[in-house]
Amino acid sequence: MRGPLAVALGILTAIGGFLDAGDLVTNAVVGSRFGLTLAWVVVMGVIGICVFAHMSGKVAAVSGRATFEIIRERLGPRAAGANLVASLAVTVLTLTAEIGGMALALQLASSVERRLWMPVAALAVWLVLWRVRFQVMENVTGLLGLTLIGFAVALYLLGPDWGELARQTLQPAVPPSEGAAVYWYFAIALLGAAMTPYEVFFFSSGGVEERWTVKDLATSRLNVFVGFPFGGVLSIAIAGCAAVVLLPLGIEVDAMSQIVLPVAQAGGPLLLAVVIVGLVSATTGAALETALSAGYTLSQYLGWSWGKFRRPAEAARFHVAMIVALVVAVGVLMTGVDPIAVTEYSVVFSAVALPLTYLPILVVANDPEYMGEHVNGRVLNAVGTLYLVILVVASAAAVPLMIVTEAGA
Amino acid sequence: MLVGVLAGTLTGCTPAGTRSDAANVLGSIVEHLEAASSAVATATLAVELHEQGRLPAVTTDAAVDDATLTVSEAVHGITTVVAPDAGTAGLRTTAIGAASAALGPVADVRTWLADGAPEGDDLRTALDEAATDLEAATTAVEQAEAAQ
Amino acid sequence: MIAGDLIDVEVRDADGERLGYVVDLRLVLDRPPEAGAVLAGARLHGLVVSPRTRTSFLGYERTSVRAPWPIAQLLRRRHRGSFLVHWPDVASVPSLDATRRGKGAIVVLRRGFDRYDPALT
Repeated sequence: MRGPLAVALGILTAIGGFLDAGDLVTNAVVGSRFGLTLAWVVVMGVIGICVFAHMSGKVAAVSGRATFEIIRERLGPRAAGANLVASLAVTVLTLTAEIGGMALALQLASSVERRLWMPVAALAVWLVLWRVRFQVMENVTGLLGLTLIGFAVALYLLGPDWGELARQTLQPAVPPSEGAAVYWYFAIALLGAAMTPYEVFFFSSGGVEERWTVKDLATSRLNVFVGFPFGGVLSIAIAGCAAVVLLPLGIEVDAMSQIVLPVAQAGGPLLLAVVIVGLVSATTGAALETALSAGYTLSQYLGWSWGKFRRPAEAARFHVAMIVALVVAVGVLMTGVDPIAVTEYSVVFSAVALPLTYLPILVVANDPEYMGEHVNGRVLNAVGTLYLVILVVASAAAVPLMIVTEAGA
Repeated sequence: MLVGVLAGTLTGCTPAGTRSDAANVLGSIVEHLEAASSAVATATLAVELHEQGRLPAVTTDAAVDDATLTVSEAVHGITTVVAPDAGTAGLRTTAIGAASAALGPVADVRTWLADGAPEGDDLRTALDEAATDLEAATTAVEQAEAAQ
Repeated sequence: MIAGDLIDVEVRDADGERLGYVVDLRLVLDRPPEAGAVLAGARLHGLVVSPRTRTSFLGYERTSVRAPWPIAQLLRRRHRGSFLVHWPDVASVPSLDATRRGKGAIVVLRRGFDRYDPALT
């Protein structure tokens, strides 16, 4: 499919696919505690993910190869191996959060206990990975995920004091009820949520799955630079809903059910139903992407054949890796751990792992051997390097802040 | 780095019950009381939205289920805090009282959803009272904390 | 012997002085293709030795790769003093035993070996 329709579809799925459990939970928690005083971090994170997703998409389109294959080649087996272990751990943790998120979202519409949903959710994810074509899978979850626009509609219907929200966004300050350390801890969590490493693995491997070439670069750039910012707007709308309804009541979000209360207040059962569809699709889409990313990174590092464009029998180890990741995720959730807590940890550990993911991409995108004339320009390099510095600082500060704040208590 | 990460996770997961000195104990009690207040406020909001026809029974039930869990965890958290002196122990007793008194009204919401009893008005009054008691207990503990 | 037996291995001169670590191998494709192969056969030209680190150049040994500037600078600094030594100047390679044990593996250079610029243009 080519032409304007394909472009529109790409942008819409980029918007709908932008949000995952980490974004949903972290933005709602932050909104209910800090209002919009941390919205600037979302903006910063969205710019960052745009820049690096664009770079990794470009690498995939120009070289026809995925990120981890090149990381392995450039870093050598030892450094790349350490990188693999860290990335894989964070990706499986994120997968666990997404499966948990699916179960929590399904519980909102069914009153069936969440722990009964978890294996069902994982099984559904596996079946889709096994049977459904890559593009169908991406388009369906992406388009259904668009229903999360319900959060923006809800914020509008709530009729908030826009001046006050704008003031919080543009002149951020630590709210008097919270300490500075907690504020910065959640700033890092938000950055980790917006820039989750699996997103770039997925984006670059997805480019190979969809057989991008240099001709697709313009489309890919458009998807990223238009789609992701709209996704960021939805993130801020989620925080805004929590800030307007939950913050004044003293409700600190610690459950999925609280995230949708502002939507119900604004738009009643209909809007709520729409948003729950969005929650289920967003977490399902992200569960598929994280499971695939776990398979991609491992297979690309070890040189196994990978990809959904191959029949499962031709990429058996790739599929086994994904099954193992799913089993691990369900196993962790079955211990009775709170999926929301898993999600909060997953975004912070994502932040810790960010430089490991983004440094190699920056290096490879500058390598004329892979990129030819498409190496990064000055502006892209300047922004990329600036972000790398920010990510290193955030990564180094994440664990100490986690200790000091007792994980944001 | 791995050691740092592990240490961080462990510290992050450390139950507040291991804190020993009075100021820390009081701070921890305040956190649990605030969590309980947040849960009661959630249940109240869910009841109001359900009465207005905005929140379906299924979702109200899920919200109240989560709130019940939060309150009972708060009760458990406060109960397992080790009070270093009699004054702190007294405040802890007050806090336990306020937090466990909130359990009943929050649990009643699910009965109300299924059965229509107790009356919506009575239910909201009970929730409001629980919220007020929690508020009072929080203020008392915070004052003691500030005096430390 | 495979490339992995040489990469990361400590390098000493004939007097036992530590010179650094093998960080890369340089191959030349100038032999006639092996039976059925399209590409020319590879010949080991020499080893790249870096004095302070076992980490890779990440591709910045090529003088044409200079971006992004801070990263290129950082890596060049880390690998300052690196040199290329030709394969005939290598006196001994790790014994099979040392390679298997994973320690005590060293590469020793011939007395009077020549240092060449490791940069690729």
